[in-house]
Amino acid sequence: MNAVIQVSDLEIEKRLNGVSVNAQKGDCIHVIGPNGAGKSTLMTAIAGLVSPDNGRITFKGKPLEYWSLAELASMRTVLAQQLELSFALSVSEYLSFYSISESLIIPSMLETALEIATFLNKPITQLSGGERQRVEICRALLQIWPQLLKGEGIAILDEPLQGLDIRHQYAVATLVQTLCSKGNTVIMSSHDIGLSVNYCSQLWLIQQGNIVASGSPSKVATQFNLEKVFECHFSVNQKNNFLEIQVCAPITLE
Amino acid sequence: MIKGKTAVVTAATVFICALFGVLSAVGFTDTPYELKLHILYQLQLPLALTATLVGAALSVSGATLQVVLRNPLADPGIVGITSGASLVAAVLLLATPQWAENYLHYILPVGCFIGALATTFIIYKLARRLLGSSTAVILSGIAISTLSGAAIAWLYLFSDANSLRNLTFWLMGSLYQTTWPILVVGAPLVIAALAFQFSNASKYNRLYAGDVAATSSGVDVHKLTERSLVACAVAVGAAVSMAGSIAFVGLLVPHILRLLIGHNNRLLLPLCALVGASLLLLVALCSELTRAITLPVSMITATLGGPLLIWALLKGQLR
Repeated sequence: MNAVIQVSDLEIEKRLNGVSVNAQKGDCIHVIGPNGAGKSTLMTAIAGLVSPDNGRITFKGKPLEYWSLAELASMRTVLAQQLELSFALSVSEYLSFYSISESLIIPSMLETALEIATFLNKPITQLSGGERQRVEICRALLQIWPQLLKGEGIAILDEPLQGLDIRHQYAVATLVQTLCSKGNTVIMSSHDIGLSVNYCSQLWLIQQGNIVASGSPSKVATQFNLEKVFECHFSVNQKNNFLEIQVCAPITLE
Repeated sequence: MIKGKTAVVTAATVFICALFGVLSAVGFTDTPYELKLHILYQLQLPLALTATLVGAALSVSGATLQVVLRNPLADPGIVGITSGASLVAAVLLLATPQWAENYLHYILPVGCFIGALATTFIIYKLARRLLGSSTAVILSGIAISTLSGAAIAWLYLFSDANSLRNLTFWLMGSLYQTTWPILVVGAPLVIAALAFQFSNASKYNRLYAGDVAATSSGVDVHKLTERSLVACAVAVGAAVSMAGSIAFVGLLVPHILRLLIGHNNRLLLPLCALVGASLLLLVALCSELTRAITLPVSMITATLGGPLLIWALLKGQLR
């Protein structure tokens, strides 16, 4: 067993009812589920930012409480959902506060995927939602960049694709996949099932605080599972190595 | 934006000039040498030290409060720390019995510190309860300021003429009331509180991205917030005990500096100390030069501060 993160019987009142999942080193995990299913709660608990009512989480073989805040900070990073900033600091200042070295150097892999060089000198409050999200992803990954280079990093990203245009959605999904292929572990939530099933190695399907299914995407993203969790009509087709998913919502308004 | 080094050198030069100006003001008069020395030691040196310590304490605490409370409007005066300290000072000035008046030098800083700490505590509790709403923090601060303002007004009603004069000093601020005993107690408090804030500058930088991001990068946000608020209360309490309540410095200096040198607290906080100190030294120098009348400090800081803040508003620093 090479589990980086083990979650067993995790309970958080009104959010999670006994969740047990594992993440192996190098896994690229996408978490999908309806709004309010508990994706964000699960991810913040794994990150060690909320303490569970019940159950245990181990991180690299040791219970989460064993690690100090500073030790955790050097191993894993967290991307939270966006919040409004009260100060008009420039993007490069903002990023430099989170990078390891004093002077800000954006690794070429991040720049290729996120393309933020053009607005480095802009005040962060003037960016569009998607541009801001690209900056936030960069900030989160810079925090543990040395670990990510070594293939020892763990990134927990809450809806990194939110607000991104289609090109950057795929760029970020590819970035995550590439990081995982180097041995890093990424857990990210997503609402784009069609993208997620083709860009992850493990899929966690979550509904009302329970894991409905977890494992390889072709086993988890079945028509039965998806229709049960999302209450929509799905058609799932395997085409060579590609899972094609079509959705139709059975909603009539009048 | 100005390079860090240039900014530090400029601010340090201005500071040294202003310090020298205040200290040498006595040198150009035709008083005898011994008297000059006496004036320098008993009047000019305490004046220069007070201006330096108070200016630095208010500006740095203002900058820290703005980042810690995530609100660019925060300022020791606006969030109510100063008014808590002034209220205690007013009560002490009016209610201290005759026999205890010799100890007022020691009671006053402690009292101001307790007042500042108490209001900080109330504001912090309110801020925690009204979590996420930074406007609410400011509003509760204004409520507390108004309340202590009202209390001070009631005190006015029941005080004699002599006490009234003392009280006015607290409300308008003055750099001429300090004595060596107050400085000896207050200076270490200010220096310790500022040192704490300087040493946490890179943690404050992480707070810009929000609680979750800061915590995930290894900053214990609650602990940092609590300790920083205490540090601000200590610095501001000590400042009020030395010079009464001085408006605007804590809001003005950090804002102007952010426009000029950016948001990096490792640079911003030390520069706030230098520029805040220089500002009050210049105010002291103005008073020295006009000699005949002692100008209330708040009057000058507000006269200078109002237009500068409007300029900052127009530059889009505040929204």
